Amino acid sequence: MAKLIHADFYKTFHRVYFYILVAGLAALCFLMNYAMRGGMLGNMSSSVQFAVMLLEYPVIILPMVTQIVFSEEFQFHTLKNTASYGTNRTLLFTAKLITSILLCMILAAVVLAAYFGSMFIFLKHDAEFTSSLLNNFFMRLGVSCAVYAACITMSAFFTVLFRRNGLAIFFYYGVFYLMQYFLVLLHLEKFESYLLEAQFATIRKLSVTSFQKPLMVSAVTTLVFFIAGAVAFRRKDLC
Amino acid sequence: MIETPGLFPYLTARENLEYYRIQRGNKDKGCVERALQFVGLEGTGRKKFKGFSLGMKQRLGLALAIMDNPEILILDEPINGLDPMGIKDFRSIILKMNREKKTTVLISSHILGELSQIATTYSFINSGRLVQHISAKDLKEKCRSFLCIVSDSADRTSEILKNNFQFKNIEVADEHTVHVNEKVDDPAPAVKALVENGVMVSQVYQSGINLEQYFVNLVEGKENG
Repeated sequence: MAKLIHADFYKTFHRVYFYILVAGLAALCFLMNYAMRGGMLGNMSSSVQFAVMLLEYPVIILPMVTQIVFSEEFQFHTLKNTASYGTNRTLLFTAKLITSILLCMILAAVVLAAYFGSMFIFLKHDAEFTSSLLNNFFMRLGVSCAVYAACITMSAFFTVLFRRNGLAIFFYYGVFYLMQYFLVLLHLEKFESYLLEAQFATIRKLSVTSFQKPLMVSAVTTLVFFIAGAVAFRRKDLC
Repeated sequence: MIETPGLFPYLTARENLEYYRIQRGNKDKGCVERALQFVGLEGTGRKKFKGFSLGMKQRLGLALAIMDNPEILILDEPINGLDPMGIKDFRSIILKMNREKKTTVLISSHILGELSQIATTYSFINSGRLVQHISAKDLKEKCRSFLCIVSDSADRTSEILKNNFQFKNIEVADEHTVHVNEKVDDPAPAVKALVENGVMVSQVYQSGINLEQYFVNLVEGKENG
């Protein structure tokens, strides 16, 4: 599996697309903190609190990473080279999923570095900017990472299921953002709190004692979509 | 190698092969360069795969297939869509592979004329069923060319040819037609001898069947023998 992950990293780092994505997001972080300077929110503690509100938005970027790892292989019919060599399909799917997660982690590290770096450059230090504030943020970020992993697995499943990239992305965003309305339609509102989007509402709350549910929902969602994705991948015509 | 090769258009030839070298766990880093040299793509430099001609793409696909020095190589419709020069290059690479690397190559193709130039054994498949497995030598014998002589007397023609030229391989097809399987390239002396002996020769021509006709006859239940 390490060989498969290494190969995908080699491929990703030998093209411009990933670097443009990283640079674009880093520039966005700089822009956000630059826009906040000088105003009422122009201090570091406000920036950290603002970052907590932004924890849901990386979900929008995640399909771009699965597109690099999964979609292109279907688009360019390259999977037949790997499958015809005898590589186990479940292993291949798992390796690509791990690659997607690791790439997102790299992306996150760069984005965080850009965000906090620009925060230190542009914003002024205030008394409320303490280590406990930072700990609180990183704890929420840690829990969010579990939700991101579930989203990546869901995106990978839709990518495997639908050959067309647009359709996969449509279903991904539909399931993430619109499922709550679908449940209301079916009079199943009681299950709303188990949706991935609802977990970010929990993460944004001031209390840190209720993080068990987001972690559990993320774990179960990851497992369900991983199994579904692996089964779909095993049955997929790769030629 | 399955039909047209699927490779990453934004990577160069080297990068594409390097990706699969890493993926397969091949620790020999020189295998990429050797594979490219073998198929004649070592000079592509920084040119991306999307800029390759179809012939170059097929050759790169072949380089990927031979990178790990396989004992057996299976090619599915490898020359579809190639121009004559591309087919010639591809053929020479396959023959070189068999000669130098002792690789057994299994080719699935509908272009029978091309196969006849490189194959040593044939397996004919029709509707998913193996119809015949035959060596190239036996197939050539079954598709052999012969000289067809049409005259007023097949028996007299046969006697004269046997007596004057010691032909051993003569078939009397019917009362006017004789098939001669020897000295097919030089019919003139035979014709002269027949005329001088009073045989009225009306037609003299080369005949036989090609691989395509042999296959058609085979799947339609007839066999030329």
